[in-house]
Amino acid sequence: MSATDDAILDELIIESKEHLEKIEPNLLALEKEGGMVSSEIINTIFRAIHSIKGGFGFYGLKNIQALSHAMESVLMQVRDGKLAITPTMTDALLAGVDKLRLMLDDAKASETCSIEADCNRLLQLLQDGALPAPPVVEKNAQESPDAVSVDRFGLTAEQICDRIRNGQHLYHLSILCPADLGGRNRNGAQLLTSLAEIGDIIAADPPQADIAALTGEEEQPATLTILYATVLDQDFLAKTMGLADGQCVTASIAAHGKKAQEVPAGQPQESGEATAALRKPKKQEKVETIRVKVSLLNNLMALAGELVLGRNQMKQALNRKISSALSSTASLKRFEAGLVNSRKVLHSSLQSDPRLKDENKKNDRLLASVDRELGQILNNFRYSLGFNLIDMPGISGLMQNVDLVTSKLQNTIMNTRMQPIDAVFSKFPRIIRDMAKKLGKEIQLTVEGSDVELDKSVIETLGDPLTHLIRNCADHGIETPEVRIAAGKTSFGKIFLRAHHEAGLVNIDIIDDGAGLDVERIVEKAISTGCITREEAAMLTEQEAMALILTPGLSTAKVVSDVSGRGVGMDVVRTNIEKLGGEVVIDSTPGKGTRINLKLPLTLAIIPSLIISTGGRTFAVPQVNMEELVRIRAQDIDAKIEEIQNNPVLRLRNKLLPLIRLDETLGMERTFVDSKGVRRPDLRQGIIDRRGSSTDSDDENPTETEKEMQDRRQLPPRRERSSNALNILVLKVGTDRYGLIVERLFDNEEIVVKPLSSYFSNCHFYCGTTIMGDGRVAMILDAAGIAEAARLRFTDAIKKEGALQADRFQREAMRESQSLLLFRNGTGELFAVNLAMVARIEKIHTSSIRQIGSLEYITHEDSSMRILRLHHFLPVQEPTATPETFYVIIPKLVSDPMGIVADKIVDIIATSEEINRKTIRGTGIIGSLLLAEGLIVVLNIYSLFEAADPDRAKAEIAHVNLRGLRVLLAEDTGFFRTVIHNYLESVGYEVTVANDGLEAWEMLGQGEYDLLVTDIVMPGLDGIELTERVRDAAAFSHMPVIALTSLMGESDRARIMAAGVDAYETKLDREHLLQTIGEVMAARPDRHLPPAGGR
Amino acid sequence: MEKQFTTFYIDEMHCGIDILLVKEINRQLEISEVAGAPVFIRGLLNLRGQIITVIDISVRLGFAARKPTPRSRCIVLKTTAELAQLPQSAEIEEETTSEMVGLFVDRIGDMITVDDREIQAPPANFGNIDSRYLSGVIQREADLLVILKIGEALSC
Repeated sequence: MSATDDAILDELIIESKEHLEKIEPNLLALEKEGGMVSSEIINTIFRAIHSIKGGFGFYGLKNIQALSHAMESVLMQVRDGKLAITPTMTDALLAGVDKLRLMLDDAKASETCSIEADCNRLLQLLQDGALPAPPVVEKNAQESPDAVSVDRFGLTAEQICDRIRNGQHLYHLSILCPADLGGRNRNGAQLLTSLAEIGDIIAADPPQADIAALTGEEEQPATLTILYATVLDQDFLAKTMGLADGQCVTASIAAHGKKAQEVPAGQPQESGEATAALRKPKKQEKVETIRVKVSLLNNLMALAGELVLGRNQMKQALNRKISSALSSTASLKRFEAGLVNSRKVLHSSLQSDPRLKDENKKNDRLLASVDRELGQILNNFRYSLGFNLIDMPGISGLMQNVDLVTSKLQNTIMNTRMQPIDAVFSKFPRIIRDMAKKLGKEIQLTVEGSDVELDKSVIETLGDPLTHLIRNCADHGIETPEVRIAAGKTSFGKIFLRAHHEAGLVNIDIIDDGAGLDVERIVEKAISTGCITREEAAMLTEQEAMALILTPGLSTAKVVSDVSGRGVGMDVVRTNIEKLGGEVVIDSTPGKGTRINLKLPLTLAIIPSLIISTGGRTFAVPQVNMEELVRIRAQDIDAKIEEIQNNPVLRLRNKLLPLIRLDETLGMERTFVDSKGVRRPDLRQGIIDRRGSSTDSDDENPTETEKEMQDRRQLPPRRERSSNALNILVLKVGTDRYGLIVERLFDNEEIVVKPLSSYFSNCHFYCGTTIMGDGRVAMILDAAGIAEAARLRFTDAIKKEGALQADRFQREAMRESQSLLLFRNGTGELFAVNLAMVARIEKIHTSSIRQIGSLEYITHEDSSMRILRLHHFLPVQEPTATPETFYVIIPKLVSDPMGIVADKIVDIIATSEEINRKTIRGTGIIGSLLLAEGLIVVLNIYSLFEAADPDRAKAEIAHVNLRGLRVLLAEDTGFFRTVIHNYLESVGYEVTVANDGLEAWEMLGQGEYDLLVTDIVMPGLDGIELTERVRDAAAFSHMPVIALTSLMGESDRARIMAAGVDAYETKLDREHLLQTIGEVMAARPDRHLPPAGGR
Repeated sequence: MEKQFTTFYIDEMHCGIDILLVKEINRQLEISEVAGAPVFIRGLLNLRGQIITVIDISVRLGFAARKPTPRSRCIVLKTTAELAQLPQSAEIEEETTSEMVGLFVDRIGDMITVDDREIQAPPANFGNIDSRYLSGVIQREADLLVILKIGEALSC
């Protein structure tokens, strides 16, 4: 086969593939319509299959031809109403389409492909469904009674029918010789060729061989009659062939009586529907398109990229020029000043020189000429500079223009690579149909936004992951009709596939109304496969838990089906999408459905990146990988960075972030730029290793004077100067984060990505190269590759230990947050209340106190509030004087609070000191603290109030008749432990304290308790895990558990409740806690109540 | 048949490659080094918007890396696609690579025309160079010209 033939074949294959694309949705539509056969759809399918058959028949590729012929035969029967459309038929036809597609992929090898099964399946349909049906175009014959006979060709209607393809019109041509041949500069053979190009010659009189022999210059006039089939309209055909209207007549075949007839021109010979179907596609073809080789587009893209680069370089050069011009202006001024000065000196020296006195005149002339010369020099200088400057404004304008056009050009070229996402979406109706059948489900797929355009390369990569997601939806998401109906849903599941633009990205949503993700099972599976530990699982948010499905090796399908659920796939989806610079977000509501959102960039060729440098080399980091930038000042490095197993980690918002040094990872020598701007090797071992500045200054400048040395000593150590701050890029790899330490940060730039040379195939830390504005080549960093190269494993010890550390840190933070409000009460004594218990502080004038009996009241928020003077209830000094105005501290977290009188508010301090409970004891006092401010008495507001109002305590105890309730309190923070202990004891409970979860767990096994009150955040075993253990253990499974927490978000709440606690309460809210305990105990009447201590 | 060679020096060794393989010789040597790259990669060069991988051919042949001097040059080779565009009459036995590659050399020598019969098989173990990378040697009055099998030396 020659090269031209090959080219034509290639073209044919492309065309045929396009036809196949059209056939599939139409077949599906046909199936949907069922009995209501729309001839429009059938005709479209028919034409497509027919062109494939014809084209490949020409090339002698018999397999393709035979298969398409078989399909065509079936379709013909359907069109003629001889066969009904059945699912079996659609299956067979779709299988045929698949096989054709397969053969087209390698057309030349198609002959070796076995098509027998497919053909037989189709022929079987013909045999099974064949009914004695009315002949093809009976209708036409009736409609055109005066059709012209075509008997002269000696063909039966069947023979003619056989040769006319669907959608073709049959014409009767009368061509005059020589007028229509020689008169139009063609001979017989040429006429036949041009006819054959646009249709089929069914029969001719005289025979074709004779026509071919005609030169077109014959003297003898003759009429050539040709029975001709073509899809062209009559008018168009006549015009194309250069025939008059009358010469081209529509012919019609009368089936009965085996004769064919002609009808006068212009009358439709087919049903109106069919004709309409024929014309319709023509309108759609109006959009002018041209096939362009992708390689050509790629070249264009590359060139545009270079143009952008050139523009950037030009801009930089221009900026340099402008700044140099500006500095020239400054130097011009200096130069001018210098000249004026020299002139002055010259004048004065000339005049003062006694030897020259007599020659004043001469001197004047000399001076004048010097002045002139100087003036000239100045002018020349000004001119040359001015020349520089004058040219600038114009250039700036031009530059802007070039800038604009370049950007537009680039965008336009980029658009040429854009393809509608339909290329991917159009596959799905078929996939869904097949799967629904196989799985016995009913699924309705709605597709929206298939006209959204994406870069060709993105679309190509998108196909597989998207297919996987859709299959997942159908397989795992949508339930069987029975299950759906049982759940009160429609029997058919809905899958909604939508593409739309948002914030410069293309968003693709895959939404189903199926069963949703079983988060628990995912987490369970992740734990059992060792992806995460139970501790980690407890810390996951719902989002994070769902994202687990994207990790390798997780498949939650109960049955591994042949459709999906082989445990590979979702991670591949994520990898593929992330390779495209995209993102996968999963959201699911159990029972309601799942929504998967993909965010994709429009193109891969140009990406926004941050430019950074390390060790004097420039790198680009794609923005998609970037989470944030962190700069740590030199003096904070020690505090914020620590080492776990020799790996540096950064504490960032209470999470530990593993750190990687870029230079180390890339195997570069570690360097730093010293104070003199010289790059020197860095000798430090770790990030937090600080060597004294003396070691590296030894050889730096041995001739330094003593004074300089002193100056240096007065400077802060070198590593603490601002230039030694750490720049950390927080990069994300999937759901993991790590910090990359780099030397310098530059601008954000749109960079043109160039592929990496194959020599770098082993350098996984790069994903491409680019050319910077200065013309230098820079590498584009690959976040995942760097993490891999640095052997960063996110699930290993670092993460676990990190979680523990974070927990410890949180506890420390909590301890630090034990802020105390210090105040005095008119004496030297210092008192403190926990700030967490203070609602507000009011300034009160003595006159506003109202006395009722021995009690004092003030008006607070429109109601009266009793106020307490400490010396009335506590063993403390009485104030010596009564000031005019004083403060009232109003506590919160107590019902009917009373105000505490203070004459001076001293300070608010944060302390982590343990409260000493021994030295100072008594009602209303927790203990004492010895701090810089002095000895502080820490008040227990609850017992203070009880002391002030004994009835109140009694009322409470009466309310909760649970005296002697054995409570186990697990709380790791000393302050809370003491406070909660105190107020539980104050109502008569027997309280045992455990310092953390593990201790509590051990104590549970040793003693008998009626109630567990536990803190949530504890080291080792936290409250949730403790509760889970309690619930899992047969001995305690019925033990009531109340969780105490200081911080409470919605997600925490859900987690806490999920663990199986009976109730949760805010720490320090005594009233509520006691009430809750009462309620919880009351709700468990089966519990054997403790021996009632009285009532 | 006569053949033309572009010659160059690596550590005073006179080497040659078929002139038809050479696209251009470049003296702009602002090569960006790439950390973590194989040792024989000198770096990347921006040649009018095209990124070229510059190979330190000396390292590839088993010598020390070259130090840049004012006479250092980069010999940019044609890609396989560019070679395919040459007329059929040009008989090229060598292969290059599908991407743009440059050779970093100490300096450029003369263009030398020899009859291909003058090319001798390389002696085994010639100058400690891996014989895979040698195509032959040409005995000349002044010195010995080593013809490199450049395609082999460039394959990764």
